[in-house]
Parts: sequence; structure tokens; C-alpha cells
Amino acid sequence: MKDLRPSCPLHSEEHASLLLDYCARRLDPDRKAALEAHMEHCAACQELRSAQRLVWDSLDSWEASDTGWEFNQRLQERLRQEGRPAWMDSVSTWREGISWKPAVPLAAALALWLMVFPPNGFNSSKPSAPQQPDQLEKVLEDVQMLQQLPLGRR
Amino acid sequence: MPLRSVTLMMSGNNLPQPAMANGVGKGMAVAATLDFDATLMLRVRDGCASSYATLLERHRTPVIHFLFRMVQNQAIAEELAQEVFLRVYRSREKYEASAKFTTWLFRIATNLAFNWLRDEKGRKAQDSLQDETASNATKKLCDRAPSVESRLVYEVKLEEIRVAIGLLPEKQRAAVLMHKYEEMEYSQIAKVLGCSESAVKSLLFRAYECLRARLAHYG
Ligand SMILES: [Zn+2]
Repeated sequence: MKDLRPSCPLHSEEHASLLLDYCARRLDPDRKAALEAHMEHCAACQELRSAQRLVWDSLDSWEASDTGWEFNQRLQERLRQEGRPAWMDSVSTWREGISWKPAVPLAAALALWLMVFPPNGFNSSKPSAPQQPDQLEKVLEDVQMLQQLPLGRR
Repeated sequence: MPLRSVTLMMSGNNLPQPAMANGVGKGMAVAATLDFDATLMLRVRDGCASSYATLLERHRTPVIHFLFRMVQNQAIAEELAQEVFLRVYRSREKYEASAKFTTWLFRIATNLAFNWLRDEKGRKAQDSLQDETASNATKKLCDRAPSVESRLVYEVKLEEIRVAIGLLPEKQRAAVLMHKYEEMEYSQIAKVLGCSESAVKSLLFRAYECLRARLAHYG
């Protein structure tokens, strides 16, 4: 394994985000210009920039897939096993619940909805089944986790 | 669903106005997206079924991809992703928009991945993963005809990337994947991992240092 430990003081944990932000194109123009001016004369930074770009490009080439429809089908089946509540079977619920414009994204959501929960598979009178105790425990854990998160939108 | 559509859906409706991201410079569209997810989840809580389908459609692929790169097994990744969306559904009645929806979503996903990796560690040694995958890929390269050589070179490289990521400690791995593929800010990664922003920077510094060293020979 090649030792890339450079000699420039910028390559410390303290300044860790500087070069990462640069390679990720997240650096603001002023800091970018300052770093580029430094890089012109710093061989260690140039080497690190090349190596980091190589990592970046390598990670870009690692693709992942998604089964999409099949995944939705399986999820639908699991929701059904859990005893979907009556509101999920009601076609009128989504019609009343949404008043957004334009209609195209809504139509896309509806198409997906119909794909996930086809109307002929519904049993509109089926009541919601009680959750298992271990499921309830996980629900409470997840909700507690949400409550512990710092406010993200402010 | 494209960001543009989401932004359009936010305008002129009766949904709450999006909160502006303070000084982040990401713009109105992203801020609208943040609020949009939480709004959808609140609608799921209130019984809107199509909102659940929309949330699933918006976040299924990023969650599956993140989990795939965490556990490096498609079937396991999809199984864990199923659990993520089941948990979101089960939590709907108690949901409060107290945090960004994706932060909560990825926190559920990350915890599930960590648990799976910890269980898996007992079954499979990380060292053998490296030896096996690298040597298998190299062996394939030697065995095949030159016509498929470029494809195999790519496969060897891919194996090395997977091994390099797989050898990172769990938290470093999660931090890199969220930073690189989800393009999350340090602050959001910190919230997902339950640590400080400086701890995230430190995790990323060490992780990328390790990746640079392992992948340097491709330069
Ligand atoms: Zn330097």
C-alpha cells in the first residue's frame, strides 16, 4: 500500500473537510480560489488532489440497482400480512386528501399507488390488525429516535 | 419524481410554506423538498394512502442503494430496505415533523445496516473477503480471452472498490456513502450517525485517507 501521507500542514484532521469539499465541488468560490493558489506551489496537495479524484471517480463507477416493481410487490404483501388499516383500502381517501396542482405528479403517485395496491386485491372491510409486541417496541424506538434528532429544518 | 415537479406541487396549494435553509445556499427548491417529505409523512399519519406511495417512490432507490453499498449484497439490502419502509409505515401514527424526514429515514436504515453487519461479523471474517474477492477476480482475468479483458479489468477494479469500502469501519463506511452518494451535508450525516459535525469530518478524513491508499495504484 502506497504511503500518501503528505508533508503539507493542510493535510491534517483539522483541515480535513477543505480538500474533500474541493473534490466534491462544494467549496465556496473564495476558499476554492485560495486553495487553488496554494496548490499551484504545493506538490503534496497536488498529489493528494489527484489521489482523492481517483477515489471519487472509482466510487462513481460503482453502480447499484433497484428492483422497483418487485420490491413494491413484496412490500405490499408484507403490509397486507400486517393487516393494512381500512384507510389504505379506500380509494376515496386519496382522492379527497390531495388537492395539489398540477395533476401530473399526482397521476404518477396514483399510478404507483395502484401498482403497489391494486384495487382487486383490497378488502375494504378488513380492520387493522394489532401489531406484535416486538413490532410495537421497534415503532416506539423509531419514534423516540425521531424525537431525539435535532431540529433539521431550522 | 423530479425535483421540479415537487417544487411545482408546493406552489399554490394549502401545504405549509417551506422553511429556508439557513445560509446553506442550496436554494428554495431543496428547502421545499425537505418540507415536502415531512408534509407527505404527516399526510400518511392522517390517513393519506397515496402519500405513502409517493414517499416510497421518492426514497426507495436511495435507501436500497445505500444499504447495498453498506452490506454489499443486493438481496440483504432489499430485505433491510423493506424493513425500513415497514418501520416508517408502523411509526406513522406517532410521527411528528420534528426533524428532516430523510435524516430519520437514513438513521433507521443505518441502524439496520449496523445491526446486520455486527451479526454478520461473527459469520464471516473481513480478511477472507479481501483475499477471496481480489484473488478470484485476478484469477478470472488470467483465465479469460483478451476480448473480454477490458470488462474483467473493470470487474477487478470494482472488486477492489467494494473491498476497500468493505474494510472501512462501519461508521466511516456509512459516512462516506452518505457524503459521496447522497451528497449529504456534514450536519445531516452527524444527525444520522448521532455524533458531532467535527466527528463526521474526522471519520471522513480517516476513511478517504484509507481509500486513497488502497486505490492509489489506479492512478
Ligand atoms: Zn499543500
